[in-house]
Amino acid sequence: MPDGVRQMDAGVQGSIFKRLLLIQACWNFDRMQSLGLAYGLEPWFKSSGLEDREQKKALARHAGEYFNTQPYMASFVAGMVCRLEDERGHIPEAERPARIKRLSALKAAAASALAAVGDALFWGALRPFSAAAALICGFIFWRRGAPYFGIGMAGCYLALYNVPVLWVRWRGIDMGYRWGERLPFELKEYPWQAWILRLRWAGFALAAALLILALAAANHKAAQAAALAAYALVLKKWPAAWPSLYGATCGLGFLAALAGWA
Amino acid sequence: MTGIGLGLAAAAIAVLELDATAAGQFMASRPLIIGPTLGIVLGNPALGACLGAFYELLGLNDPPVGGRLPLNATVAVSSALFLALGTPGVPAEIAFPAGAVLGWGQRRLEERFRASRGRLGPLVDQRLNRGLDPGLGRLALCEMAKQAAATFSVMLFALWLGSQGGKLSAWVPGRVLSGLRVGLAFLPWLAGASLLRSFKVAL
Repeated sequence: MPDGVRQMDAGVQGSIFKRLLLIQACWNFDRMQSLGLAYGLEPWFKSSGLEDREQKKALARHAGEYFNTQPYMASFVAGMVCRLEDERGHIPEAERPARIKRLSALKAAAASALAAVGDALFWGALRPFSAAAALICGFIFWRRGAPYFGIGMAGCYLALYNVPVLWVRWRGIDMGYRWGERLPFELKEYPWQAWILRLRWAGFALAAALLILALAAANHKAAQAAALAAYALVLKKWPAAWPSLYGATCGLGFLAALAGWA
Repeated sequence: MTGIGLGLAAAAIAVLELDATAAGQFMASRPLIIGPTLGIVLGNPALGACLGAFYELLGLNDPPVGGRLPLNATVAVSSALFLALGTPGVPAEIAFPAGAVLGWGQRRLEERFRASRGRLGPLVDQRLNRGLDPGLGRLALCEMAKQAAATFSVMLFALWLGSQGGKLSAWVPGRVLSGLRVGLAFLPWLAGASLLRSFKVAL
């Protein structure tokens, strides 16, 4: 660490970690996660040795600025902000306003970049992968006659999802703090896109295996397979169209009932 | 299950629902978790697991990105199970779409909460400018308590609807019920297609 800049204390890191779990509790359309981020940074400012007035000025800056990112990746930004705030306190007074502007710009840029990575990694890859793996697990338990197969499914989902998430949320604070301004460059060294692609393909393979097993166990296989293919084609173009597809299926059922077929 | 037991289950769901966006995001509020658990509590583990899987997979292509609120899947699956497994309850083919409607309703409530929180920023600014403690932790707890109370009300409404099951089912014409039955029969394939689409792999 450069002279005068503190190490990230485990106790303070723990406090920041716990508080960042509530980063979205006060989410609003004007400033989004800014109040949650300020709440997360409070332990750092309290342990900084700054005068109470200075602490509140720093908090006000962060609470007053628009901030939004993927909630898990906010740890990196929080760590980076702690480091930059600490460095700001050790430079001449005349240089501090420019440093504050730079900190705000870096914070916004990091939030944006981390949001893109985090959304694709967690919402777009890890969550569906965990769901597919959990369903395979549940399917196996169900075929073996386990009455509470759903609990095995739920446990598998929670474990697969939360192990990497908790690691990112905890280590992100420390890594953001160590990297400081270098955060964007250090993040570029990680093969995020490769990880996302591998998770997607692994999840897709699990999902395909599950659907093949389900089709094999189904009655009227041809009709079910045709329905699956039709749904897949429509969802490929309109991913969120499931309510319309569900409604259309119910509508077809209603017409069949009118015609006396169902 | 007794009324007190159901009330406690509704309260537990109201607290767990906070995990969806407000607190934690450990996925403990996901339908794949709530569905099987609530199904066991209400006496039908298989139905809980199935409805949980359907809502989970259907929601995968609607993530909470950039402040967007998807359908509240926690409320959807819990409402559907309270409806289906209430006394006398409604058939699953009515419970599923009814749960989805309540999940969309909860989403509208959350949007209103989010809009009302616009006053918190200036309040915190004022406190900090006066040198006072901003009370960010207390504000977060208040907002979460309000959201949990709203969810609890929706759950109580779903429980009440479940208790009116016989009357509700009687209102649905037979042919519409047949249509809903067909919709439910094909739901696993719709959910499966949604799961495949969520991976966005180019074949």
